[in-house]
Amino acid sequence: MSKTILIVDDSKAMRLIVRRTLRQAGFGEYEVEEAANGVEALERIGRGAPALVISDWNMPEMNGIELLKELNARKVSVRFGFVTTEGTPDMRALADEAGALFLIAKPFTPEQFESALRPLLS
Amino acid sequence: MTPAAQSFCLDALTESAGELTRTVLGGLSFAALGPSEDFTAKNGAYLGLVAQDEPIQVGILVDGVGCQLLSKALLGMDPADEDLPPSDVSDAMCEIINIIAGGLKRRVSEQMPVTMGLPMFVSGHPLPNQQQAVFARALKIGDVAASVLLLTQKQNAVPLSRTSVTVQTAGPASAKESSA
Repeated sequence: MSKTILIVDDSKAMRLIVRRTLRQAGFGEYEVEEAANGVEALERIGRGAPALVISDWNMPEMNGIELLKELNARKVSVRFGFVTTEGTPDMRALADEAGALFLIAKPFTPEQFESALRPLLS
Repeated sequence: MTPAAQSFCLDALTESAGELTRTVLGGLSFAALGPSEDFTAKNGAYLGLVAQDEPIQVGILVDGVGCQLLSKALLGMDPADEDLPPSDVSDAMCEIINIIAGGLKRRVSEQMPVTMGLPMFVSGHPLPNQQQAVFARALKIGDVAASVLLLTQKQNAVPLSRTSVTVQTAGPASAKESSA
């Protein structure tokens, strides 16, 4: 399995926070790469699927759910989850339907990351 | 928006700010100090929403030093670390109001449908304008005095005042001058 986690978020601050939280949650052994939107993420994933994609929902250019649907359309198999401010039941259902493996609502804790990610990466 | 809905939203905003403080701001102390009418000489991060088919804005007002301190806390930095460049402060403050607004949405979504927009950071004091009614709660986040705001459209609003402000949206776009 790849040892890379791809963080997709248009906010530099949030990419840094997710990176820090991954370390705090015990995933420090993974190499972390970043993309600022769905288009950049597609380009990165096209060069080789990471172990996991952690994506924001609301982004310019291509948002998170559009990214996931595009990966599905291209038949790219990659573990994918959302870290987003919008954790309403409707959005969780939409994420589930598109094949997202988790949706962590901001603000989050390292424990939430550990709980959501460990079963996927072990 | 009814007075009850305004109060409900302000309570949710305050709770959301407390949740933000306990989690991604590294556990700074948090106190909700009650209603606020001090909107002078502050910087603000704002986010537009549609709640019950009504356009509203939520915001957080903080002075320049406070913006630095909250941004450093968000990024896991020490308060004594070198100050962040304006673009990083803008990005961090936008993320702070984004998280607070998301918390508001989660808390009120069963009672009122909410659609979120994108955040922006404003240097100076452009808000409220004469078309907006403002409801605010004073907060103390660590050593930082802040206010969370709920801005709603007044009925029979008068024309906008002509105040020159600097607006910086989230992301890489640079600051631009505009009139509110």
